[in-house]
Amino acid sequence: MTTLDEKIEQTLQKNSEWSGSADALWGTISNQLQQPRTTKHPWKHRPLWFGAAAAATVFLAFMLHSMFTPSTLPPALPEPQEMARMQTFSVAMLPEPEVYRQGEQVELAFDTYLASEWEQDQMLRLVIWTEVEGEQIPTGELPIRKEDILGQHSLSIESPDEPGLYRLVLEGLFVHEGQRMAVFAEKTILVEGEISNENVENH
Amino acid sequence: MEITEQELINQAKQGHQDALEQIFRYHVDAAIRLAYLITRNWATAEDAVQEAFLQAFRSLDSFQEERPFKPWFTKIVVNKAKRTKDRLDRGHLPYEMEEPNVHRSYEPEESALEKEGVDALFQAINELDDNHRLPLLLKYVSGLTEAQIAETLDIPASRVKSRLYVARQRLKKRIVTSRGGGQNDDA
Repeated sequence: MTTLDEKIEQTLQKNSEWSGSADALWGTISNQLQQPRTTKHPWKHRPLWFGAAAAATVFLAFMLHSMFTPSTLPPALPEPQEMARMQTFSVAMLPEPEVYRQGEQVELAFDTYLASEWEQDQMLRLVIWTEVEGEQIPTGELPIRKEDILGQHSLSIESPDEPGLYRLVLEGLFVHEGQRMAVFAEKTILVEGEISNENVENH
Repeated sequence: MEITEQELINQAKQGHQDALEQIFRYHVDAAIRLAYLITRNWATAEDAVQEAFLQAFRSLDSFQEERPFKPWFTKIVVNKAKRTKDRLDRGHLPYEMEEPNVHRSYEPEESALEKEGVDALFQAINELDDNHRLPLLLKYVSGLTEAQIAETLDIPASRVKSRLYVARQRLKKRIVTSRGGGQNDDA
Protein backbone atom coordinates (compact mmCIF):
# COMPACT_ATOMS: atom_id res chain seq x y z
CA MET A 1 0.00 0.00 0.00
CA THR A 2 1.23 3.49 -0.85
CA THR A 3 1.95 5.66 2.16
CA LEU A 4 0.76 9.23 2.48
CA ASP A 5 4.37 10.41 2.08
CA GLU A 6 4.70 8.56 -1.21
CA LYS A 7 1.34 9.86 -2.43
CA ILE A 8 2.29 13.45 -1.68
CA GLU A 9 5.64 13.05 -3.42
CA GLN A 10 4.10 11.38 -6.49
CA THR A 11 1.33 13.97 -6.71
CA LEU A 12 3.77 16.85 -6.59
CA GLN A 13 6.07 15.20 -9.13
CA LYS A 14 3.24 14.49 -11.56
CA ASN A 15 1.94 18.03 -11.30
CA SER A 16 5.23 19.82 -11.82
CA GLU A 17 6.70 18.20 -14.91
CA TRP A 18 8.67 20.84 -16.77
CA SER A 19 8.59 20.72 -20.56
CA GLY A 20 11.09 23.57 -21.01
CA SER A 21 14.69 23.28 -22.10
CA ALA A 22 17.50 23.16 -19.58
CA ASP A 23 19.97 23.83 -22.41
CA ALA A 24 18.19 27.05 -23.38
CA LEU A 25 17.98 28.19 -19.76
CA TRP A 26 21.68 27.45 -19.21
CA GLY A 27 22.48 29.37 -22.41
CA THR A 28 20.72 32.46 -21.07
CA ILE A 29 22.31 32.17 -17.63
CA SER A 30 25.85 31.61 -18.90
CA ASN A 31 25.51 34.57 -21.28
CA GLN A 32 24.39 36.84 -18.46
CA LEU A 33 27.19 35.60 -16.22
CA GLN A 34 29.72 36.70 -18.77
CA GLN A 35 28.30 40.21 -18.94
CA PRO A 36 29.54 42.80 -16.43
CA ARG A 37 27.18 43.46 -13.55
CA THR A 38 25.38 46.76 -13.33
CA THR A 39 23.35 46.35 -10.13
CA LYS A 40 24.68 47.86 -6.92
CA HIS A 41 24.03 47.16 -3.27
CA PRO A 42 21.40 49.70 -2.31
CA TRP A 43 22.76 50.54 1.15
CA LYS A 44 26.21 51.33 -0.24
CA HIS A 45 24.85 53.93 -2.62
CA ARG A 46 21.99 55.48 -0.69
CA PRO A 47 22.40 57.83 2.22
CA LEU A 48 22.22 56.20 5.64
CA TRP A 49 18.95 57.89 6.52
CA PHE A 50 17.27 56.01 3.67
CA GLY A 51 17.03 52.73 5.60
CA ALA A 52 15.70 54.40 8.73
CA ALA A 53 13.15 56.40 6.74
CA ALA A 54 11.98 53.29 4.87
CA ALA A 55 11.67 51.33 8.12
CA ALA A 56 9.73 54.17 9.76
CA THR A 57 7.35 54.35 6.76
CA VAL A 58 6.70 50.61 6.87
CA PHE A 59 6.13 50.77 10.63
CA LEU A 60 3.71 53.70 10.27
CA ALA A 61 1.79 51.91 7.50
CA PHE A 62 1.58 48.80 9.65
CA MET A 63 0.30 50.79 12.65
CA LEU A 64 -2.33 52.58 10.56
CA HIS A 65 -3.42 49.32 8.99
CA SER A 66 -3.69 47.69 12.42
CA MET A 67 -5.71 50.61 13.82
CA PHE A 68 -8.22 50.81 10.98
CA THR A 69 -8.64 47.15 10.09
CA PRO A 70 -11.01 45.35 12.50
CA SER A 71 -9.93 41.83 13.24
CA THR A 72 -12.57 39.21 12.46
CA LEU A 73 -10.49 36.24 13.39
CA PRO A 74 -10.11 34.84 16.90
CA PRO A 75 -6.56 35.19 18.20
CA ALA A 76 -4.47 32.23 17.07
CA LEU A 77 -3.01 30.04 19.74
CA PRO A 78 0.79 30.13 19.63
CA GLU A 79 2.69 26.96 18.91
CA PRO A 80 4.38 25.54 22.01
CA GLN A 81 7.88 26.82 21.26
CA GLU A 82 6.66 30.28 20.36
CA MET A 83 5.31 30.99 23.83
CA ALA A 84 8.77 30.83 25.34
CA ARG A 85 10.18 33.03 22.60
CA MET A 86 7.61 35.79 22.65
CA GLN A 87 9.63 37.87 25.04
CA THR A 88 12.59 37.75 22.67
CA PHE A 89 10.42 38.59 19.66
CA SER A 90 8.97 41.62 21.42
CA VAL A 91 12.50 42.90 21.87
CA ALA A 92 13.71 41.81 18.43
CA MET A 93 10.90 43.30 16.34
CA LEU A 94 12.10 46.87 16.55
CA PRO A 95 10.86 49.22 13.82
CA GLU A 96 14.39 50.10 12.75
CA PRO A 97 17.82 48.56 13.13
CA GLU A 98 20.23 49.61 15.85
CA VAL A 99 23.20 51.54 14.53
CA TYR A 100 26.80 50.51 15.32
CA ARG A 101 30.28 51.50 14.18
CA GLN A 102 32.57 48.95 12.52
CA GLY A 103 33.98 46.56 15.10
CA GLU A 104 31.86 48.01 17.91
CA GLN A 105 30.58 45.68 20.66
CA VAL A 106 27.01 44.48 20.12
CA GLU A 107 25.04 43.04 23.01
CA LEU A 108 22.69 40.28 21.88
CA ALA A 109 20.06 39.53 24.55
CA PHE A 110 18.83 35.95 24.39
CA ASP A 111 16.24 33.64 25.93
CA THR A 112 17.16 30.23 27.30
CA TYR A 113 14.37 27.72 27.80
CA LEU A 114 13.72 24.00 28.04
CA ALA A 115 13.63 22.47 24.56
CA SER A 116 10.57 20.43 23.70
CA GLU A 117 11.03 16.72 23.04
CA TRP A 118 10.52 17.15 19.29
CA GLU A 119 12.89 20.07 18.84
CA GLN A 120 15.86 18.70 16.92
CA ASP A 121 19.42 18.92 18.16
CA GLN A 122 21.17 21.89 16.62
CA MET A 123 24.65 23.20 17.30
CA LEU A 124 24.85 26.49 19.20
CA ARG A 125 25.79 29.11 16.65
CA LEU A 126 25.57 32.72 15.66
CA VAL A 127 24.53 33.24 12.04
CA ILE A 128 25.15 36.61 10.39
CA TRP A 129 22.81 37.43 7.53
CA THR A 130 23.18 40.26 5.09
CA GLU A 131 21.32 41.50 2.08
CA VAL A 132 22.52 41.06 -1.50
CA GLU A 133 20.27 42.49 -4.20
CA GLY A 134 17.36 42.52 -1.80
CA GLU A 135 17.82 38.91 -0.72
CA GLN A 136 19.05 37.79 2.66
CA ILE A 137 21.98 35.40 2.54
CA PRO A 138 24.11 34.04 5.38
CA THR A 139 27.62 35.52 5.31
CA GLY A 140 29.08 34.12 8.46
CA GLU A 141 28.55 31.50 11.10
CA LEU A 142 30.29 31.30 14.46
CA PRO A 143 30.04 28.26 16.71
CA ILE A 144 29.14 29.28 20.28
CA ARG A 145 30.21 27.34 23.38
CA LYS A 146 27.60 26.61 26.00
CA GLU A 147 29.97 28.13 28.56
CA ASP A 148 29.38 31.47 26.82
CA ILE A 149 25.64 31.08 27.32
CA LEU A 150 25.29 29.52 30.78
CA GLY A 151 24.28 31.97 33.48
CA GLN A 152 24.19 34.83 30.97
CA HIS A 153 21.35 36.81 29.44
CA SER A 154 23.30 38.39 26.61
CA LEU A 155 26.20 37.65 24.30
CA SER A 156 28.76 40.28 23.43
CA ILE A 157 30.07 40.24 19.85
CA GLU A 158 31.91 42.60 17.52
CA SER A 159 29.95 44.20 14.71
CA PRO A 160 31.11 43.32 11.15
CA ASP A 161 33.95 45.30 9.57
CA GLU A 162 32.02 46.16 6.43
CA PRO A 163 29.27 48.78 6.64
CA GLY A 164 25.79 47.48 5.86
CA LEU A 165 22.60 46.04 7.19
CA TYR A 166 22.98 42.77 9.10
CA ARG A 167 20.72 40.39 10.97
CA LEU A 168 22.29 38.44 13.80
CA VAL A 169 20.62 35.18 14.83
CA LEU A 170 21.75 33.17 17.83
CA GLU A 171 20.19 29.72 18.04
CA GLY A 172 20.80 26.13 19.01
CA LEU A 173 20.42 23.51 21.68
CA PHE A 174 22.72 22.31 24.45
CA VAL A 175 22.51 19.89 27.36
CA HIS A 176 22.90 21.22 30.89
CA GLU A 177 22.55 19.02 33.96
CA GLY A 178 20.78 16.39 31.88
CA GLN A 179 18.26 18.80 30.41
CA ARG A 180 18.04 19.91 26.79
CA MET A 181 18.06 23.69 26.67
CA ALA A 182 17.34 25.91 23.66
CA VAL A 183 18.64 29.40 22.99
CA PHE A 184 17.24 31.99 20.63
CA ALA A 185 17.94 35.64 19.88
CA GLU A 186 17.70 37.89 16.87
CA LYS A 187 18.81 41.46 16.21
CA THR A 188 19.04 43.67 13.14
CA ILE A 189 21.90 46.15 13.07
CA LEU A 190 23.12 48.82 10.69
CA VAL A 191 26.90 49.12 10.64
CA GLU A 192 28.03 52.62 9.76
CA GLY A 193 31.46 53.57 8.59
CA GLU A 194 33.66 54.11 5.63
CA ILE A 195 33.28 51.67 2.80
CA SER A 196 36.63 50.04 2.30
CA ASN A 197 38.98 49.87 -0.70
CA GLU A 198 38.19 51.71 -3.89
CA ASN A 199 35.07 53.43 -2.57
CA VAL A 200 37.14 55.47 -0.11
CA GLU A 201 38.57 57.44 -2.97
CA ASN A 202 35.14 58.80 -3.81
CA HIS A 203 34.72 60.53 -0.42
CA MET B 1 36.62 9.45 -9.95
CA GLU B 2 33.48 11.25 -8.85
CA ILE B 3 33.91 14.87 -7.97
CA THR B 4 32.34 16.08 -4.73
CA GLU B 5 29.99 19.04 -4.49
CA GLN B 6 32.60 20.86 -2.42
CA GLU B 7 35.23 20.43 -5.14
CA LEU B 8 32.74 21.49 -7.77
CA ILE B 9 31.92 24.67 -5.88
CA ASN B 10 35.60 25.38 -5.39
CA GLN B 11 36.13 25.11 -9.13
CA ALA B 12 33.06 27.28 -9.78
CA LYS B 13 34.46 29.93 -7.45
CA GLN B 14 37.56 29.98 -9.62
CA GLY B 15 35.35 30.71 -12.62
CA HIS B 16 35.25 27.27 -14.27
CA GLN B 17 32.23 27.29 -16.57
CA ASP B 18 32.03 23.49 -16.62
CA ALA B 19 31.64 23.42 -12.86
CA LEU B 20 28.93 26.08 -12.96
CA GLU B 21 27.09 24.14 -15.63
CA GLN B 22 27.30 20.91 -13.64
CA ILE B 23 25.87 22.64 -10.58
CA PHE B 24 23.12 24.12 -12.75
CA ARG B 25 22.19 20.78 -14.31
CA TYR B 26 22.17 19.03 -10.95
CA HIS B 27 19.78 21.52 -9.34
CA VAL B 28 17.67 22.92 -12.19
CA ASP B 29 14.90 20.34 -12.22
CA ALA B 30 14.04 20.56 -8.53
CA ALA B 31 14.36 24.34 -8.65
CA ILE B 32 11.95 24.71 -11.57
CA ARG B 33 9.45 22.33 -9.99
CA LEU B 34 9.59 24.23 -6.72
CA ALA B 35 9.30 27.65 -8.37
CA TYR B 36 6.36 26.48 -10.46
CA LEU B 37 4.54 25.05 -7.44
CA ILE B 38 5.00 28.40 -5.69
CA THR B 39 4.11 30.69 -8.62
CA ARG B 40 1.78 28.34 -10.56
CA ASN B 41 3.05 29.84 -13.78
CA TRP B 42 5.79 28.26 -15.90
CA ALA B 43 7.16 31.44 -17.46
CA THR B 44 7.54 33.19 -14.12
CA ALA B 45 8.95 30.03 -12.56
CA GLU B 46 11.66 29.96 -15.24
CA ASP B 47 12.38 33.66 -14.67
CA ALA B 48 12.62 33.12 -10.92
CA VAL B 49 14.99 30.17 -11.34
CA GLN B 50 17.13 32.06 -13.83
CA GLU B 51 17.45 34.97 -11.38
CA ALA B 52 18.17 32.55 -8.55
CA PHE B 53 21.04 30.86 -10.43
CA LEU B 54 22.48 34.22 -11.42
CA GLN B 55 22.38 35.48 -7.85
CA ALA B 56 23.77 32.24 -6.44
CA PHE B 57 26.64 32.07 -8.92
CA ARG B 58 27.48 35.74 -8.42
CA SER B 59 27.44 35.30 -4.63
CA LEU B 60 29.49 32.10 -4.61
CA ASP B 61 32.44 33.92 -3.03
CA SER B 62 30.40 34.48 0.12
CA PHE B 63 29.24 30.85 0.22
CA GLN B 64 31.11 28.56 2.60
CA GLU B 65 31.74 25.45 0.52
CA GLU B 66 31.86 23.14 3.53
CA ARG B 67 28.13 23.72 3.90
CA PRO B 68 25.62 21.97 1.61
CA PHE B 69 24.77 24.04 -1.46
CA LYS B 70 21.19 22.89 -1.85
CA PRO B 71 19.56 24.58 1.20
CA TRP B 72 21.41 27.83 0.47
CA PHE B 73 20.36 27.80 -3.17
CA THR B 74 16.82 26.67 -2.39
CA LYS B 75 16.41 29.65 -0.08
CA ILE B 76 17.28 31.94 -2.98
CA VAL B 77 14.81 30.13 -5.26
CA VAL B 78 12.03 30.40 -2.67
CA ASN B 79 12.68 34.12 -2.19
CA LYS B 80 12.74 34.82 -5.92
CA ALA B 81 9.60 32.77 -6.55
CA LYS B 82 7.71 34.30 -3.62
CA ARG B 83 8.69 37.79 -4.67
CA THR B 84 7.53 37.16 -8.24
CA LYS B 85 4.28 35.64 -7.00
CA ASP B 86 3.66 38.63 -4.70
CA ARG B 87 4.14 40.98 -7.65
CA LEU B 88 1.74 38.86 -9.69
CA ASP B 89 -0.83 38.76 -6.90
CA ARG B 90 -0.69 42.53 -6.61
CA GLY B 91 -1.37 42.78 -10.32
CA HIS B 92 1.93 44.41 -11.22
CA LEU B 93 2.57 41.79 -13.86
CA PRO B 94 0.24 40.09 -16.31
CA TYR B 95 -0.61 36.80 -14.77
CA GLU B 96 -2.48 33.74 -15.80
CA MET B 97 -2.70 30.77 -13.51
CA GLU B 98 -1.64 27.75 -15.51
CA GLU B 99 -2.62 24.18 -15.20
CA PRO B 100 0.20 21.70 -14.72
CA ASN B 101 1.46 20.15 -17.94
CA VAL B 102 -1.30 17.94 -19.20
CA HIS B 103 1.11 15.45 -20.74
CA ARG B 104 1.70 13.86 -17.36
CA SER B 105 1.39 10.16 -17.72
CA TYR B 106 -0.48 7.56 -15.78
CA GLU B 107 0.40 3.92 -16.02
CA PRO B 108 -2.22 1.81 -17.81
CA GLU B 109 -3.17 0.04 -14.63
CA GLU B 110 -3.83 3.32 -12.91
CA SER B 111 -7.55 3.79 -12.88
CA ALA B 112 -9.61 6.93 -13.28
CA LEU B 113 -10.06 6.77 -9.53
CA GLU B 114 -6.29 6.90 -9.06
CA LYS B 115 -6.03 9.99 -11.29
CA GLU B 116 -8.92 11.54 -9.42
CA GLY B 117 -7.11 10.85 -6.16
CA VAL B 118 -3.91 12.52 -7.39
CA ASP B 119 -5.88 15.56 -8.55
CA ALA B 120 -7.80 15.80 -5.28
CA LEU B 121 -4.60 15.55 -3.26
CA PHE B 122 -2.91 18.20 -5.42
CA GLN B 123 -5.89 20.49 -4.96
CA ALA B 124 -5.74 19.91 -1.22
CA ILE B 125 -2.02 20.76 -1.19
CA ASN B 126 -2.72 23.99 -3.10
CA GLU B 127 -5.38 24.94 -0.61
CA LEU B 128 -2.94 24.81 2.28
CA ASP B 129 -1.73 28.22 3.43
CA ASP B 130 1.87 29.13 2.62
CA ASN B 131 3.04 28.45 6.18
CA HIS B 132 2.09 24.81 5.76
CA ARG B 133 2.51 24.38 2.00
CA LEU B 134 6.06 25.67 1.70
CA PRO B 135 7.62 23.24 4.21
CA LEU B 136 5.73 20.46 2.42
CA LEU B 137 7.15 21.49 -0.98
CA LEU B 138 10.67 21.78 0.43
CA LYS B 139 10.44 18.31 1.92
CA TYR B 140 8.81 16.44 -0.97
CA VAL B 141 10.02 18.39 -4.02
CA SER B 142 13.43 19.69 -2.92
CA GLY B 143 14.18 16.75 -0.63
CA LEU B 144 15.42 18.93 2.23
CA THR B 145 15.66 17.69 5.81
CA GLU B 146 13.66 19.40 8.54
CA ALA B 147 16.79 21.22 9.73
CA GLN B 148 17.49 22.41 6.19
CA ILE B 149 13.86 23.53 5.74
CA ALA B 150 14.19 25.50 8.98
CA GLU B 151 17.30 27.19 7.65
CA THR B 152 15.68 27.87 4.28
CA LEU B 153 12.54 29.40 5.76
CA ASP B 154 14.41 30.98 8.65
CA ILE B 155 12.20 29.46 11.33
CA PRO B 156 13.05 27.07 14.19
CA ALA B 157 13.23 23.37 13.30
CA SER B 158 10.54 22.64 15.86
CA ARG B 159 8.14 24.86 13.97
CA VAL B 160 8.94 23.06 10.70
CA LYS B 161 8.14 19.78 12.38
CA SER B 162 4.81 21.01 13.69
CA ARG B 163 3.85 22.61 10.37
CA LEU B 164 4.66 19.44 8.45
CA TYR B 165 2.64 17.45 10.95
CA VAL B 166 -0.36 19.78 10.64
CA ALA B 167 -0.11 19.81 6.83
CA ARG B 168 -0.02 16.02 6.64
CA GLN B 169 -2.96 15.73 9.04
CA ARG B 170 -5.01 18.12 6.92
CA LEU B 171 -4.19 16.23 3.74
CA LYS B 172 -4.97 12.91 5.37
CA LYS B 173 -8.30 14.21 6.63
CA ARG B 174 -9.08 15.59 3.20
CA ILE B 175 -8.34 12.27 1.50
CA VAL B 176 -10.47 10.34 3.95
CA THR B 177 -13.31 12.86 3.58
CA SER B 178 -13.19 12.78 -0.23
CA ARG B 179 -13.46 8.99 -0.14
CA GLY B 180 -16.33 9.09 2.25
CA GLY B 181 -14.15 8.16 5.24
CA GLY B 182 -12.83 4.92 6.55
CA GLN B 183 -9.44 4.24 5.03
CA ASN B 184 -6.18 5.04 6.68
CA ASP B 185 -3.56 6.07 4.09
CA ASP B 186 -0.69 6.43 6.45
CA ALA B 187 0.36 2.81 6.06
